[in-house]
Amino acid sequence: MDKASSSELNAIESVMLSSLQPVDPRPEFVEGLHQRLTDPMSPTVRFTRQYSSQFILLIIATVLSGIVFILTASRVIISLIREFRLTKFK
Amino acid sequence: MVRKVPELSDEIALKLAAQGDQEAFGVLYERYVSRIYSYIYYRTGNQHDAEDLTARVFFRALRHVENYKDRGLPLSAWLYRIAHNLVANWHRDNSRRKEIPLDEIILVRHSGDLPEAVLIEKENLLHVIHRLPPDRQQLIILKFVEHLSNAEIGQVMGRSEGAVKSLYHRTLLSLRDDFYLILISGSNEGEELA
Repeated sequence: MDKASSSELNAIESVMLSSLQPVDPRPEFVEGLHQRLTDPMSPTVRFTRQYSSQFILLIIATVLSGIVFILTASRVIISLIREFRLTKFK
Repeated sequence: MVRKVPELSDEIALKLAAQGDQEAFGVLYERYVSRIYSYIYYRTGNQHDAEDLTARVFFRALRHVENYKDRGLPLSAWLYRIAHNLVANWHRDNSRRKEIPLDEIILVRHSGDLPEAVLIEKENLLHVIHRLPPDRQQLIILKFVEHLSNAEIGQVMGRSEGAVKSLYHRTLLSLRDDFYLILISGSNEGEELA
């Protein structure tokens, strides 16, 4: 590596040294997170097995009721179309 | 008996934390939170995500501290690796979302008392650093923000000291080329305007 190239790299290094300074977190954030980590009474959300099974049941019920709704709605629409046709031909 | 918790070494604090001693984990947290936050801040470029990811790093560390195996690496290397993985996931998840450029945010914090020429130089530098591949960004931040040695960086990145040296040299060359390209294009624009 020649002298000029070496001095260019040194210049880049010195710019980085002066530009890249550590950034401190907000004291409120540090304190708040410390409390959350070390306080055994701090509220945490845990997905228990019971919660998961309830969630799965809820999804199944939602899907089933959706199917029933679509079937009923399509039957109503079909019957309306039939009635419309019958009255048209009479 | 009153225990002087802040004087605990990392190894003892880790052992106690692994046994469920939250106070000992708190000591480790206080020792490393600023370094982890600073690292994540430079990788994400904004305070909000840096705080969110810092919290996740320490919650993940707390969850896995009982399974921590001492492989001769310092605790900081473990925490930096967790941070690196979370930042990688964050970049993947946010790749479609518009992000505020790193250089804009960092300059906003420091722009108050600096001359314009220095600000432009900083802006250019941060711009080219932000365009580097993730492993090179990690290397530059660990070296210049966290002031780690090549051996320590190697422990964090899972590379040998020689490999880190070599990667650093290649990164410097690439930074120099990009940096001067920006300077040249900036001076050409200036001439065209004149």
